[in-house]
Amino acid sequence: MGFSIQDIRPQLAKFTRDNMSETLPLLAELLTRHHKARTAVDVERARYITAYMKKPDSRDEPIQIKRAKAVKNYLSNRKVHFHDDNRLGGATTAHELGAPVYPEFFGLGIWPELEFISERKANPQFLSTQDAKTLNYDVFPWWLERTISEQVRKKDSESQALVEKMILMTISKAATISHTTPDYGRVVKQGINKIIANSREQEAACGSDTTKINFYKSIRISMQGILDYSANIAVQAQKRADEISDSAPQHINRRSNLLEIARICSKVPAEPAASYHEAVTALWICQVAVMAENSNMAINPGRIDQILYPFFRNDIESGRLTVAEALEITGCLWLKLADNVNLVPEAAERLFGGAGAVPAITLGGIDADGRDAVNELTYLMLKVTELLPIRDPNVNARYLSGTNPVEYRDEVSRVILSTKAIPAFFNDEQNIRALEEQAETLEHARDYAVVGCVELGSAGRDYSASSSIFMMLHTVLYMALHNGRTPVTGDKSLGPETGEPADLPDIEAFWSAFEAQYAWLADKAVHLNNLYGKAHQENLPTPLLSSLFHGPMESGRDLIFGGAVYNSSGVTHIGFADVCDSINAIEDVCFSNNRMMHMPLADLVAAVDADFEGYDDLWHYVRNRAPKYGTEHKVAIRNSQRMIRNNFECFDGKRNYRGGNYRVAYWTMTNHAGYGRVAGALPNGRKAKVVFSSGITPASQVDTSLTSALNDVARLDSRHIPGAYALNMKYSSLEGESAATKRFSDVIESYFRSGGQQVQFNIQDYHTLIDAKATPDEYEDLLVRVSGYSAYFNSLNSAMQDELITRSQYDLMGNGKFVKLDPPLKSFKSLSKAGGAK
Amino acid sequence: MRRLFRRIFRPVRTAREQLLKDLRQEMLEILARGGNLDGLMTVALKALRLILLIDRDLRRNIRDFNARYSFICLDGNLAVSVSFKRSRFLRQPVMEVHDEAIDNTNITVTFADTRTMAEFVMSESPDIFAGILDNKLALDGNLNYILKFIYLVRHVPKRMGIEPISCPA
Repeated sequence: MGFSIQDIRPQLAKFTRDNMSETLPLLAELLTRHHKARTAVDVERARYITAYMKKPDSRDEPIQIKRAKAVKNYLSNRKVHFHDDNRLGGATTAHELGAPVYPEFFGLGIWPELEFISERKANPQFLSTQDAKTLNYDVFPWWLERTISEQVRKKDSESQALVEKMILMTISKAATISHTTPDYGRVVKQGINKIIANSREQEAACGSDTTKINFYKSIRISMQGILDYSANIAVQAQKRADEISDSAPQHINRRSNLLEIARICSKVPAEPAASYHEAVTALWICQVAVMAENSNMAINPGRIDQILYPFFRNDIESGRLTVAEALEITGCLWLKLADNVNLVPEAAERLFGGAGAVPAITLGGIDADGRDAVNELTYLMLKVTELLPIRDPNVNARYLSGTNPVEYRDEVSRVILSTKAIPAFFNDEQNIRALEEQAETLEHARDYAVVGCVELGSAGRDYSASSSIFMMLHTVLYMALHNGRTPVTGDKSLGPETGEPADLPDIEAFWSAFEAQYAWLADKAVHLNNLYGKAHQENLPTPLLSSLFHGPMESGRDLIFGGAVYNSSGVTHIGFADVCDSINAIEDVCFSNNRMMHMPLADLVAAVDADFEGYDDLWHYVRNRAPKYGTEHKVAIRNSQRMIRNNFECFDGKRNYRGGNYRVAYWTMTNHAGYGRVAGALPNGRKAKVVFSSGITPASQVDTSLTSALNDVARLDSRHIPGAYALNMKYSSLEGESAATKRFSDVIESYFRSGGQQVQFNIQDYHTLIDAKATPDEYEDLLVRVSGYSAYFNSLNSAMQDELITRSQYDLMGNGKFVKLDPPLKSFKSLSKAGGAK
Repeated sequence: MRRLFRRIFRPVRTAREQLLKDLRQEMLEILARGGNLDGLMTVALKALRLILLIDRDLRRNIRDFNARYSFICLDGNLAVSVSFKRSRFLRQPVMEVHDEAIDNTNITVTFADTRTMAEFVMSESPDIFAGILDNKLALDGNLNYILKFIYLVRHVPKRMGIEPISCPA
């Protein structure tokens, strides 16, 4: 017999980062390797997928079958690698830290730098000469006319040209099928053989419907790929174990580890898991397989403390598993999830670099019946998060006040203070309500998992595609102030002609112009997103992913054709706080009885277009005196709420290509820095080429308090933000663990009770980050929260580093007062007009 | 037989190397003049044409590659184009340079000024996205073709032994 499940938490307290090399030596060693690993471009997937697409079994093969066979070709034939002594078999790529190439999406983006990518200054990604040749001669030429973007351009070049202007919107489907949470629970509990058997039964029952017949066949083909891959891992692990004859203790451990991998992989994921180790392995192999078919962007393991808990509990109570072993196996999963990053072309790196693959893990919260879902595995996973402060996975903690215990909220808070960055906090009350408003049943909404950065979706039921559209709010504002023109269309109006500034007599007229431009852009974005979706349907069905969802098996319809229970798409926004504050400034300066600073809108626009050169008084006024979001100013509250409502209502009722709805969100990854760097000045006093504020976060360096900033965010109606938001807060370093934890935890409670949906933190003061930028070698593994995910500070571009430095800092233990950055912004060269990324 | 071929083609090779040197000189003179970079694009493209004739490895990139590009510069009212096809005479793929815009291109690149145009062919890492965002460059056509072309054109400064032009941040 083992020990009671209630004994877990006292045991966990014994494990710390300081004693990890003694208590969990394998994890300590793997963590060191992880930090040392350098990214390499992985061409193996591209090679196998392309090889099959070039020479399919039959030219007349339906795309559903062809795609399944291409993916199987890769999974069944890829080499098996054991990069280290990780207790889980399988890896995303052939490299310890790999960036897979997806040529069907935007893999060709690295074509210009095939001979240079290994040595480029920003985040080099190693590519061998041989692999560069493979891409250059064998892979990329075949895709010249076949990438998804090109398929769309051939159908509607005018619409595609809007995307290529890059300042209006981004349609992520050009780069990915991703941002969703599969139901790994079914593989863990039932095994893939059961899924295959189900597909046979369904096929037998569907008569002569060839679409359905092909779909069920494609499921079996892709599932066979997973089985082949797992069997190959088992064979190679056994072979490696047999080669070890040395009797040194470390070799004995390695051998027994390999033998256990061989045993487990010869069983799962084909059959149901019977132990915690088997369940974790099954989940991991399926995660690898999903990324073989779909891009490695935000493919989320989901609520794994719920999926894996029965196995954990059984093993603990029966004595088959110790706490140390559970920590080790879970830590191995964390490090495996961190074994891949996105392939990032140099140009994109300069603008948006530093992201991981952002597989999100969701802990805690409530279950489908509304009961407290926090369990002992939740605490164990929080401990692993504390012990392994790494970029991926993106760990998120759900919390429902009054149902989840305060001890849990305190423990999450303690881990955030310990890691200074992770996990992020999510408020179940608001998020479940937001999902219910999106027509999810209460039970399904309660079972939501965080997708990628911050987005929400019922786990395994919602094919959420949550990063589908990025709307550039600063461009909408520019168009409203320039009669529909954009910065890249010169004198020609791209949007509707809503009037020159002189034609807008009051704030209502301005709002009408803004809303009309937003509506125009939203229509274009939806049209394009749906075009891309149709291109996916015609070229990239997803049988493997479909088999891991509720819905497709029953309906005989691939996910990409709307087979899931829910079929949403996400719409996020860049520049929220800066644009809100700009509207506040417009109202204050041009359309109120302001005696201190008053001018016609046309003059304000002229000043903004001149980057405030020669308008010093105006600049100082709009920066320091105009109403600001995050200060509880009544004008700012009204305008921020109006913007949230407008954006929601504009997308509400629009339908995507799968018949689902669009969910509005406010998270920005690093886009707010990248696009800020190339955008002109704004009426709020933000000068040209300065980064925007992140996510939903109030603009940096606004003189306010923690309470006011949180209150303004909490006031935003969560029903209008069903895709969720990223609120990034920065606290001064905190001393005195228990008092700080309590204060920290109490602030979360208060913010959530006021209506906040999400919040994440950096516990770093200005000067630490300034120092980290100046002396990067001394901060090699400094982990920070960006806008929805974590990153190593050194891997971020200069603009993003500056955005993190200048984020407003609050002194939690000093009543949450705002700590001003001193010296101010202008002392940072890279934030001036001449600034730029590395 | 091989020796005979070498003897016959030696003068051709020598002439090509000399032509490459002349083009290098011409590029250096344009760069030394500063300011107006008219003509640099055309010279660089002619250099690329020659490099593709000389370098068998690089030439492999244009095997079975039938593509047409136009490059237009608004401020200098310049246009230059290239096409790739198989030469019946040489029995190998070649690149042709035309001093005008051509029809039926796979992609047309429009530059705001000659400086941007020069950076495109002579920088260490041509950044078309930054060019688009800065409103200095516009693309019309299949983006993938320009990615391949940048791969090819990046060989020019390296092969010519000319310091790449640095792009402003």
